[in-house]
Amino acid sequence: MARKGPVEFKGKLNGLYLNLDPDESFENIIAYLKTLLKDRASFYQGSRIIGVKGKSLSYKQKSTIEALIYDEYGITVESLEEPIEIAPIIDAAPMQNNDSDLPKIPDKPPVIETQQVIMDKPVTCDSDTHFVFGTMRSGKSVHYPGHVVVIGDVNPGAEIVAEGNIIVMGRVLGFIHAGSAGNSKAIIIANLLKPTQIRISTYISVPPSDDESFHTTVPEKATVSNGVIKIEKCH
Amino acid sequence: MSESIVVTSGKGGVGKTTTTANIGAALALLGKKVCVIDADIGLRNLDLVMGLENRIVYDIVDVVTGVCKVKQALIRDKRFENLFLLPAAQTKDKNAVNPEQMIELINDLKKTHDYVIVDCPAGIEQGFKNAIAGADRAIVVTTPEVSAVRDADRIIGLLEAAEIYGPRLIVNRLRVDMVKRGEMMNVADIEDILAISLIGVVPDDEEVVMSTNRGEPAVLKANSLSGMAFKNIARRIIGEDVAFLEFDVQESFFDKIKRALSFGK
Repeated sequence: MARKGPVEFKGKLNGLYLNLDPDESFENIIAYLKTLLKDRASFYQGSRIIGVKGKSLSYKQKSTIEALIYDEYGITVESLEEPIEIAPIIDAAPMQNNDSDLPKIPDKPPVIETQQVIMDKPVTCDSDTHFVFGTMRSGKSVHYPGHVVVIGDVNPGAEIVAEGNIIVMGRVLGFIHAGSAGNSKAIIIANLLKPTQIRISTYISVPPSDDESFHTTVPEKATVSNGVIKIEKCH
Repeated sequence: MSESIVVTSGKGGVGKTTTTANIGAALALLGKKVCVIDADIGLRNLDLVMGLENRIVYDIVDVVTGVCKVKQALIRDKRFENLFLLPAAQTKDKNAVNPEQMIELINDLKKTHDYVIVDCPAGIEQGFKNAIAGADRAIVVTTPEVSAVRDADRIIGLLEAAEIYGPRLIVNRLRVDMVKRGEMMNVADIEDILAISLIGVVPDDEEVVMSTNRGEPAVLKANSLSGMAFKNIARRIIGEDVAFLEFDVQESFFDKIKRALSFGK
């Protein structure tokens, strides 16, 4: 697998490991790692580094990397050792009737390698989710510094202001504002999006007034795209 | 088993007082002992609509402040077997009574009446809070207009917050001709938004204006559609299963000609 740049994060079953270019100097690696983390720190937040590949690191180097990753970006470092490569099973012996001749149990599990998942994670706040059970009637107001999930409708005159995403298992006919602290990657998903006014971060929009009925079969999603709020069906 | 019902709406002018007077009267016609209470202190109308204003001696504020006993304040409507009115005060305002006093008053009245019906004022402030205190059930009245429905939604939320669950809906002043033309919300749309169960639909009826002026509830008029609707609502209140009326008035031949020539409506 070709590596992109001196440092690459590779995903495994239980964490990430750093894939380092053995030909690069440690300074370059640190510099590159810094840029990589700065750009995508939020993406890696909550991840675990379980090892290092490609380049053997001295104790001091490992400490430097650990300091950078954990202290500055809060990414847990479980280990910076080289992971053990495990060979896949070649074949399994067929079942025998005779008890004394049991099938060979493979002694090493196969490697499951996952490619780095490039996911446009919508919102990146560590905060909790507030649940609202039941329909929000006119006059009801929820302000929360996190995500909000409503199991019910949001009637006209009700309002939700969340710093994170807003998911409504019902119809949105009231006022909703996601990413209220300035996160324009926040999303809003509902069974029906017909709010009186919709806001994501600092973007404001009103849905088109068409004669569509109040029932849809596919949920709808609102996101900020090219500087405007776009409402589309969820696939 | 006595029951207290508050008739509320949020929006003003949708027909709470008319509804209170008429279902009170209709329940009395069904043989029940009924007391209707006007909780709209300062803007009293229930006595007017029932034609009993000339007989007011004491009012609800007199009762809660101990000036008189509740029995002295009750006015018996002589047209009915067992219908009484407790009027509001006109020269005071809604702060003259508090929820605790209302609860005590209603519990007292429930001892001697089968149904105590409270006419709630418009709004969501002290008057509303007073009126719902002591209520077992609620009836929410709305007209088929967006503003009334919006306010009704708010009221239902406030009723739920006050732990009065399962309010029933009356859609008042429905104009079937406008609904047919698509110019007015239909009952199904309203039920969809408010999500509470319907107890009655009352058509827009000129008779209501006339009966208010005369001080005679519409249920006393034999062929009034609104009167019939209110009587059905009273039957549903006591637990009867009554089919909803069809309000399609048959067009006469002359009406057809009128329509073709775009006369009249």
